[in-house]
Amino acid sequence: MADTAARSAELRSSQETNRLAQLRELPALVFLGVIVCALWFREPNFGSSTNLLTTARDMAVVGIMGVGMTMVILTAGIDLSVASVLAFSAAVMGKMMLGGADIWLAVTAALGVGTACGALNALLITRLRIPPIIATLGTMGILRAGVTLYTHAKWIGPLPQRFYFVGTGCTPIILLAFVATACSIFLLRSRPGRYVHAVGGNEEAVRLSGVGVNRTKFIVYALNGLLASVAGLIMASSMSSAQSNMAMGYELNVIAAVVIGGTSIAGGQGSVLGTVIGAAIMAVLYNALILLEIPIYWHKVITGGVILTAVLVDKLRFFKRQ
Amino acid sequence: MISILRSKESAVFVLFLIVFAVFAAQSDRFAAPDNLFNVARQYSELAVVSVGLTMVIITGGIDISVGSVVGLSSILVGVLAGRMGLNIWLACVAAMLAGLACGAINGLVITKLRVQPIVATLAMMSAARGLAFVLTEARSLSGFPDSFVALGQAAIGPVPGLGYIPLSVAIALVLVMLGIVILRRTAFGRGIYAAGSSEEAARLSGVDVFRVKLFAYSFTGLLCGLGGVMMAARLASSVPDAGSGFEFEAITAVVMGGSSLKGGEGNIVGTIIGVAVMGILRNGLNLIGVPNIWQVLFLGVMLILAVLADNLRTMLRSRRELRYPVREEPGVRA
Amino acid sequence: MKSAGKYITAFAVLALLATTFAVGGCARRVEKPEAARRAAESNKSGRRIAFVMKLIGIPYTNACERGMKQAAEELGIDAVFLGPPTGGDTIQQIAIIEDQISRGVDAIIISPNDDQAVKPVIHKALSKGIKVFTWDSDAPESERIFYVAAADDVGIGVEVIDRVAKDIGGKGKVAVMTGSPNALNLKLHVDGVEQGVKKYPGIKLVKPYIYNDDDQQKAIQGAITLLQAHPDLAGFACVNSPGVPGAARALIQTGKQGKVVVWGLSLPSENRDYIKKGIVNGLTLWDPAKLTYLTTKLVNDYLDGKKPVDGMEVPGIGRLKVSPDGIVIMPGAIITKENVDEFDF
Repeated sequence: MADTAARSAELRSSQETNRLAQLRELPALVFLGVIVCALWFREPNFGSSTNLLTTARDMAVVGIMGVGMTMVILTAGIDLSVASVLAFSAAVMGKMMLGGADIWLAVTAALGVGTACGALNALLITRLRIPPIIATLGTMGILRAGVTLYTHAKWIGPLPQRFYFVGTGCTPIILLAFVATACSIFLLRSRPGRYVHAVGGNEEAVRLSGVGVNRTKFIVYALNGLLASVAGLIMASSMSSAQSNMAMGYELNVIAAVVIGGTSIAGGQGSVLGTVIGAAIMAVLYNALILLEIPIYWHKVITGGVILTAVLVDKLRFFKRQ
Repeated sequence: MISILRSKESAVFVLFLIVFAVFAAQSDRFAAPDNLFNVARQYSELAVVSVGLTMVIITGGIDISVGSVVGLSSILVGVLAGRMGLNIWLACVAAMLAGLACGAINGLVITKLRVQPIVATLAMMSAARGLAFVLTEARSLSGFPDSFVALGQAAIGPVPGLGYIPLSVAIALVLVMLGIVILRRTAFGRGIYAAGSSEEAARLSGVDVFRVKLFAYSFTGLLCGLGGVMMAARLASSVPDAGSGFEFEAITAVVMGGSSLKGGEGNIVGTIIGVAVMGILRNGLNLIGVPNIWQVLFLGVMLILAVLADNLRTMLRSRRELRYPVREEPGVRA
Repeated sequence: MKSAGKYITAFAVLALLATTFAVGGCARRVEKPEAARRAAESNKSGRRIAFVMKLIGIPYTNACERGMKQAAEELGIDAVFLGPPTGGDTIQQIAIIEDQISRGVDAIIISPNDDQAVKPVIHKALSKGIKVFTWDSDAPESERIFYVAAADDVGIGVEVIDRVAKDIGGKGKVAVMTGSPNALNLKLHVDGVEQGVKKYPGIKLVKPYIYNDDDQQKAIQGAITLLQAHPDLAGFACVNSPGVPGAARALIQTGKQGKVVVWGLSLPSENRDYIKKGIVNGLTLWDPAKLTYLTTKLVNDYLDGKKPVDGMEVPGIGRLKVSPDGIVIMPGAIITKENVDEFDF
């Protein structure tokens, strides 16, 4: 009985992902295309390699965190602590590097710290039944305070020269491509990945059919923490330092990217591809503001407008189908 | 007596007593009435906003735009009165109406367009904050008439035994009581609990779920408008990033106070105790001279502890009820 | 059994959290008795003052705190250094000031995030007999007793653009990098840049100005984007401390280091490497530790009844200029490749 229920959940989610994969991300992709073309036309400098690479880097940081957040949101959860996890893991890495440790050892430590933080979130949510928004709101504060105390509010840097390449040139975008592809494959083709969709769709049904809901959530939150620390590597390398206030407020940017990309906050529906497009849209918009010499304070209004538009477009499709 | 201990607010009240005792022991200035009234003043806007947010959360929704709407309202007072020279009281009314409008928009988008509350209010949060920044080019505004500024610093009294009560605290208290009355005694209040517990059941028993939710969000928006006006008066200037972080603080207070994010449970008394805990925590740490970053840490820990305590209590109660079933009227207690 | 396991995990986590509390509390209590004992031993006068900075947690503010602590120890008074954890937070800063008023300190010295918004709270403090001063950034329309700065706020902006102009040969495009739009000192520095640039008709200031909110990532991003928008950008004029390293990193990442001139207000300790390699041309600054040290001493003198006098010499600092409306200025420094190693702040 458990087996058939699980299999039907798999079938449903894979059908869904196949059928809808084409449609869900289309509006976002079209929008991205439009703004890129408009911007390139208006401001040829946009197409210069340095500009594209820098925009790509912004996109990579938000995008990598977004991939993790997508998976969390697919399970109908949320993780507000990603920015604090990023800062904390980067700080640990920075201190190790400055203390003379091997760069790759420090990087591994950072990734380990990130995964551990994600696991902590998972424990709070699965074992102690704390609602995700509360648990991660709490860990967000605790970790941010933690990193400030750990660094004594001093900048940790400059980081070794050999580490520069992670945050510059093509590396960030390559990392994003790798992460996005790997997680897409995980979500669409592996059994635990399909359970992620299923849990978000109807958790009770999945639990009753014997699938390890807690284990699925654990994987997802731990992965999210890991990805946050990967994004932290890029950011720390680009600033050549780790600071206690790095990525402050980024969690909302990440959630915005996920929403713009078509993933539903209610869980069960969405894709990594959509989030990557969402991250691209936000990075290009920010870039556009500066290239077009629009005052910075328009940024928030525009972001809000884009989020609202994305959501409304999504609803339109929902109503049309009705 | 035992029923008080069993009630949802008990956990946060005990927390309040503990934190209060710790700080009173550490600093002799802490328990002084004028210090406590100061804290109450600083947190009066958050208290006002939290009343509305409690209602929203009881309906099973959430509103993360509250801080930004407070900021927008505060800016509008500055722009209309300070920059455009409009009569200050008209400007205040306009700012509150703007808050109401934002709340209503949230409510409509959530009910009619069926957008998830967190997403709809995320969009409103960016839009309202952005509008505040655009209107002021990210600068603060001042130049309010003295009568307005005086109101921000005004106090009522003297009240025997307590001294002067700041006006903003009095306003907050009035709104808290209004909120309690709405939740406990009106049909809207019962509808809010019903809609939160089970939308289907509520609808079947004749509750207009849409109207109830729209009311909750709109009322919250209006309260945010009021909060923005109060803040402008207290600071004698409009700051574009007024209220930033409010949403998280308010949610923390509401959850600490015993409301469940799934909806159907909660009350304003608990929320206000939660606000009080946050206030004395920050104040106490400042008085002792502890770096402000510790507050963030303690708040995070307390939030998780409060939820844990609540979970444990629910677990204990359900175990006890399995053995001794108790008939109890669900949830309706403000 | 399942529920037993849950209880155990719950109690384990509770214990962990309780330990955090305890450790946090102990850490506090360990520093407190240490500091308190030292303060108590040396605090013969029982005098207490509080500095409330725009924010805490960047090298500039850490340096300020060092200067304050040194002066406090020498004078035997109790001084605390406070501020909101993030930049530009006016409301939290005001709450902190109000709490210090409750504490009943003898003097409060503020570097306001918003010079208008602090007027009521300054008034409140004065009405309770607490003396209020400003340092680092002023609130000129308030009732503060005096303001201690290391430069004429406008003049230092002029200085920065003059230096940039000299190094780019008097013509070209220059980008302006600043912190938050509300801090008065930054506004005045930018005013200085705008005034000073009028002398050079060949120089054009690029819009928009970059507001980095004291966040280095924003500084880098903003600088890079401007470099894209204006490939012929000749120089950066930075008026807040994260701006200079931000511009430097942006130049390194776009491969333009050495080709674009960078001058600004920043700390030598943050920029030593960049200055030596020629990526940053130079800094105009003052030692924030010395500035805060001086302020502490002047405040203490004032509480003893001695006001600052124009032309007075302060050992270790130099000669002060004091204007009639209460502005005290201490000498600053120009820091370049030649002398960067002399400074350790």
